[in-house]
Amino acid sequence: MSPFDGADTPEATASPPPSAASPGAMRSASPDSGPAEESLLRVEDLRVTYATEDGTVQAVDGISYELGRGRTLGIVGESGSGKTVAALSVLGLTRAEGATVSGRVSFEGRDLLALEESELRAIRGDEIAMVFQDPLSSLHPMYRVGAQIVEAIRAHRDIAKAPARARAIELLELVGIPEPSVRVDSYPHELSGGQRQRAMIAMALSGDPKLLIADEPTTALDVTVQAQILALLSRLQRERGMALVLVTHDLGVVAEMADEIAVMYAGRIVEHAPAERLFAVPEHPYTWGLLRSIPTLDGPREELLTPIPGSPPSPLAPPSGCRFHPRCPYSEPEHARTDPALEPVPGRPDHEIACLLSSPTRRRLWKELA
Amino acid sequence: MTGYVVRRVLWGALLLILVSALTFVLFRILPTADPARLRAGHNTSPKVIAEIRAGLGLNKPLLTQFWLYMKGLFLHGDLGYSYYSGASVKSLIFDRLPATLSLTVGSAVIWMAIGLPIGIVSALRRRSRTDRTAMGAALLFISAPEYWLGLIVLYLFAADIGQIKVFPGAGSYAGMTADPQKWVTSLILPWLVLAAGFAAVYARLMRGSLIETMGADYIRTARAKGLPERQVVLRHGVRAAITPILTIFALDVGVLLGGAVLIETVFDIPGIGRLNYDAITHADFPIIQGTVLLAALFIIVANIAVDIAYAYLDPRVRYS
Amino acid sequence: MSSGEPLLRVKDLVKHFSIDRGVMLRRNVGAVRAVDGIEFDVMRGETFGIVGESGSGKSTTARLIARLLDPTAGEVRFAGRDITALRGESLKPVRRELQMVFQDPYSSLNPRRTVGSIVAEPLVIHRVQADRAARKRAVQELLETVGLNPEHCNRYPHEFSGGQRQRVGIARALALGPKLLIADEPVSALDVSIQAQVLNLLRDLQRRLGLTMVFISHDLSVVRHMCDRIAVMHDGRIVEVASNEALYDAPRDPYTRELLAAVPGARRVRERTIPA
Repeated sequence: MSPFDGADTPEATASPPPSAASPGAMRSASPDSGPAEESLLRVEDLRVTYATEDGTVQAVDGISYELGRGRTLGIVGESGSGKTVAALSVLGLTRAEGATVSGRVSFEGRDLLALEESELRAIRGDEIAMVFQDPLSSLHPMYRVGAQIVEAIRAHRDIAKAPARARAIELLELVGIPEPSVRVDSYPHELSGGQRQRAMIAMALSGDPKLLIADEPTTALDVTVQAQILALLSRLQRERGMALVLVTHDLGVVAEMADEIAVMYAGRIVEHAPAERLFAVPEHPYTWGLLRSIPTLDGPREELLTPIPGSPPSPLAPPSGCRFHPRCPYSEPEHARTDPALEPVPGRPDHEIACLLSSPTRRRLWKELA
Repeated sequence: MTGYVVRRVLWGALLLILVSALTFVLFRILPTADPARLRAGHNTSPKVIAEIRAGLGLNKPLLTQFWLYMKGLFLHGDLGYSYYSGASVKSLIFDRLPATLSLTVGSAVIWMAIGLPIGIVSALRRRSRTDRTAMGAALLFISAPEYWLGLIVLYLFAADIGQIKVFPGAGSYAGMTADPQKWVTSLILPWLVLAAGFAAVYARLMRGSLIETMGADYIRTARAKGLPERQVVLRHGVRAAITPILTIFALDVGVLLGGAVLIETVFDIPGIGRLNYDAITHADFPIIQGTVLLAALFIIVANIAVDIAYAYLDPRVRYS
Repeated sequence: MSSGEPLLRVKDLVKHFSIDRGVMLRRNVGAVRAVDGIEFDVMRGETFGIVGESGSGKSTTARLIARLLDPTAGEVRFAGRDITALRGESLKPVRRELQMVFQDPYSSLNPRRTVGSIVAEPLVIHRVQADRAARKRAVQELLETVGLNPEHCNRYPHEFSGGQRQRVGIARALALGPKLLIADEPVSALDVSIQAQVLNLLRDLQRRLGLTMVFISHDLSVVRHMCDRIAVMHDGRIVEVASNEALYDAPRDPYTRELLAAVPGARRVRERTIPA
């Protein structure tokens, strides 16, 4: 009788089975969360500052979002956007690195930022788990993979080494690692990149989390392995009713996986919309810029890519007013003075945008571009 | 892994042979003076010199001499004979070895027990007052010459000449089996003095190594797993940080086993360092040659131990 | 040389890295077959893509063509000449015509040298432009060509962004007026919004200067955008060579199809970008 017997049954969610006909069949199929359903995670005005030798860095400058049970949020951004810091701050991991964090992060109603470190630790690796970008450097090089998973298990449950090890082998099998009873004694450097990432995912799942935060989980992997890992995450999410925050720079990944997408730029969310809307009717010039500058597998080949001029701003010296205005082809002089807030697009409460242009103007511009 | 170990041991053996050969060259060929005269030390009676010459086989061809030397060394452990002291070098060395061993092992334990925790605390409280004090003190102890520290300590605490008569003074060393209590008490001051400089070095090393390790991605993962901070620091941080330190430790011990001449002189401990020093002042070449070979042996063994320990501690190294 | 002949011809190219085992004397017990017999031609003026995952041998191939590595077997012919066996001094004239742009803009530029001296270095080594003033002018022209401010030639690499550093790398590669440019993952280390800038620059330069390019990448979308013909590599071998349209519309090899299917969401991004 494994002490984990109860843990494998997926959380009861009122989600209909995924319909294969709809695009993005890999995404979780929870219905749009109505206002009545309490969200699993609610971030309100999160700000994260670092004091460095070169000055104060405002890595995250007031972001807010909500995530329902079983849903997937994709956070997209480039370097300096603050997306990784935002993800780490949910679990309070940036405080250990010397950051000042303010705002509210409500998980099932409790404000994580107000918790004592010991209470937060009980949640980390248990109800909320995290998977990182480079599994070779994110796993301890001197301990076997099984031992690291056992450590995660025993941190939250009072069980002996032997059953914990058995559980670790079960988890490795669950994530699709071949010969799990052999691989459990492997060191991280003895596994392939894909297997390492699976092992990290196994470790993250050991506490049967309600929320998984994945920071660029496939960036360091080959494209075929990437597809496997994303499929794995999808499957696990469906089976367990787990919510997923997926942080990445790759729009293709969020197109595939996310229910909603938040686009971050210079520490802010500039656009937040359901996935279909973001690709069909994006409203922020930065999003347009991203969509038009990436080469794709379909679509005409002859067109030159349309890059966004300039480079992402350094977090040490963010531009005044609208952060994107120096690179925005549609900016007006007063955009350097006013800071746009994240507000819903008229008529669509689920699509938020932080832009000083008017919505009709934006719609017209997008029609012209596409 | 076994292949790795075997390779290291074989290379070590080869190195030992090379060092012995080199010693032979140095002590028999390079001195422009007559080796027999050198062997005789200050005893310059021609009869003795002739005896020595015959005994050393200096009349034989060079290659034969080399062969006899190596054979004697590796098959019989024959390190030669000191005409000055009138005893075989081997017996003299073995007489002195326990003292050096006691001194080295004791201070090694103390310096690790003091230095490492200080380094860990400093790393975790970087730039705090604790850190600055600790590193400042470390700098002091690294800079202070051991003999100076030794003399100060004797001046303050020695039973015969000290201000506060706590510990036995210089020259009171007794063998461990002969008088255990005296053995310990007479070594406490030398242990502390020898350990002081090393503890300071190791505190700094540990601090630096741990600061670097704590910035690694796997520390973030450990925290994300919800592990208590102490476990994160010790089982993840220190575990990775300690590998380079242990390897340096093995080398330091290896060198010390060749004799800590300053401490042994200040505290009048009959160890290998003193033996060597006395032999140098008397130009007693057989002893010098013997201690050189011994020191080389310890260092080679320490190096092999380091290589093996590193592979054991860091699994990534095993595939070479 | 007639215009129909390929500028670069690679035949049965092999590169093995040996594995040594043994206790004292290291015996060769096997080899990593990084490149295991590949063959392709690159015609003048075209952009030839080599695409594959890690371990496919594409980077090794790049280095073999650029003669930064010596092949274990096979032949590399450049501009009609067999350059496989050339070493050292005899390779020097070839290097003027065949240049490489590297992946990591952060490590491929010497941090202790000014950008101007980095770009000038090929000119100095090959003794083009004897006097300093002419060299300086050449460097400034090159910086302008790649879209950088020529007055910044006295700055150091760390003062530039990743995309700008990559432009410096390109300027350096163009200094000697090469016929063939080998670009090994030139945009993989750059932010998405910068990638487009550098890709556009490469295409523009190619047209203006009549360059032939070998473009290596793991990113199928980028390769589709840039290349006329593409070779797909897997495990040291080329599994398919096809024209751009043929490869993406009707891939023949199962591995190619697997690669294309694995690219996340690419089709969906496009699907959705057409306004509803």
